[in-house]
Amino acid sequence: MADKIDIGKLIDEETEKRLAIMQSPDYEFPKKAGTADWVFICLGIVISIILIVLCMTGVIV
Amino acid sequence: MSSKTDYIVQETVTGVVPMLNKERKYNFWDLFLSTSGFSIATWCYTQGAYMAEYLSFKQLLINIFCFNIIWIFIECIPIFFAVRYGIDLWVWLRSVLGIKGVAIFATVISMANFGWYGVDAQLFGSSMINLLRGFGIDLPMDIWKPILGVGCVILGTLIALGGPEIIKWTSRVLVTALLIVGAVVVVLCFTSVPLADIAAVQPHIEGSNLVRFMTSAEGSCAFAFSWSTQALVIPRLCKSESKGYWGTSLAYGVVAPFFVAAGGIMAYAMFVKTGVFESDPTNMLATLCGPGFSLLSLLMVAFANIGTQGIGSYVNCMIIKSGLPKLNYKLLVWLAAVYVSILTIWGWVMDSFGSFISMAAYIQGPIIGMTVVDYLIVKKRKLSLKSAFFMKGHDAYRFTGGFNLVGLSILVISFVTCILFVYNPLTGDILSPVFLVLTGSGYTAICGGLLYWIASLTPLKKYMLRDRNDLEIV
Repeated sequence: MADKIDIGKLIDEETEKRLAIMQSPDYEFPKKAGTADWVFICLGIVISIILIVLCMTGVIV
Repeated sequence: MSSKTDYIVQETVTGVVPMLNKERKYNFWDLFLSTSGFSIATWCYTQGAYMAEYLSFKQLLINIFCFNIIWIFIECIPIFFAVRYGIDLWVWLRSVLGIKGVAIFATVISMANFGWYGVDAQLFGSSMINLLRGFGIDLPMDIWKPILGVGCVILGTLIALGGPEIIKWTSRVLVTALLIVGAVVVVLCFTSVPLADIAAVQPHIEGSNLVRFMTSAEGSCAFAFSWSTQALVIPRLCKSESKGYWGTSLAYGVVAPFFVAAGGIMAYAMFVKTGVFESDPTNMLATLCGPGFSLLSLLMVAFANIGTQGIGSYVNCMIIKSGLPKLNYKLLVWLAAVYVSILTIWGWVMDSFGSFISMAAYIQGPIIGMTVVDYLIVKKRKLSLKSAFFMKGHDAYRFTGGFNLVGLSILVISFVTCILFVYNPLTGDILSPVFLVLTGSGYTAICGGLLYWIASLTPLKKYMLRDRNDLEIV
């Protein structure tokens, strides 16, 4: 039975159906990332850069 | 009808059809544990032991954690779109490399990624032989290492065939146990050899502080980059952008480096005890903690490597499907098993491990740079999903015969200039002071991102942003 399915056509049809659902004004996207996420990302990167520079300059050996 | 429904479910979970919000099954812990299970493997210890020869204890910890945190936190930023639209990185990359460009690079990069799993299987084989030797069973390495390695590949393949649900439950149990084991290993190392003795070990490799530090940093960056093309496949299963991002980035940026650091600490402890830097975790644990501890190392090595094979196979087959969506997932998993088995028996990747990871990172670096710049600055987080999925009448990402010549040219320029002018991983030659600031891998990512941004400021912008009138789903 599965062999009779046109795989390409099925994928295209299903994708189109799902994109139409996502385009609908009623569709609820997953909760967005907040400011706190961006703050923690930047904080992690800045602290890491400072520690790396201290090692590169021989302050931490 | 039921087989059609089954097939749709299969193509959503193990295919590239976008996953709707209500279908997501992974929370933070599921994603964190699955990704951690993927990232923990014996190669972490190998990497840590290799770096321990170049650095002091304090520098080792900073090198491992800080370079990984920087690059993982950056390369995981596009996870926000992966979760939002229920798609993976490679669907977005159709807008950066072109539809045919993705088909080619998705296949090439997955073929390269599978090299890691050949290494993983080989390390599994040698660790098992060493372990059995501890119990008085002496197996010839030449014969049994590939046989046990292929066994590891087959067990991993069975997990991959089960799909995300099997991976989720396997990870919940195994990874929790492995994290506890990892913590116990570090504590035992510190109790076996005093911390002061470990901290007093001087770098074994000669050279200036900066050269040693940045040569090790090349390994850390390449390690971080190795996850990049695989990192954005599983988050599409997650329920919120924040959980998707942190579940992935903490696993790759903190948990995997923790096991690399554990490998380094064990190598220091072994050096203090025996005067030799050792990289096989089974030998290290048996020497440092006694033969009774071998059972714990068996658990650690066996399950970690099999889990990595399973999740790695799922992720990389999904990457190939992103480029070639109509391939059958199960067939692909079995083909991958055959390919990894051949790599395991051949052994070339293991013999050229350092060069291999850097060369792979040089392809992944420009892709990381371009993806982040494209997402945040050039496309400003908006993609034409209909063009990305080749819907009729939506051709923004067909570019030139299916190839985005701007993206592909930048990838080639970054790769070639790094090998010719910055750092050649095949010879180990540092060719420019740029290496001592950015590393070779870091250069490829920054160069790729910078060139892509500059190109978007020129008349090429029109070519790169053909989709601005086709943004229907935002």
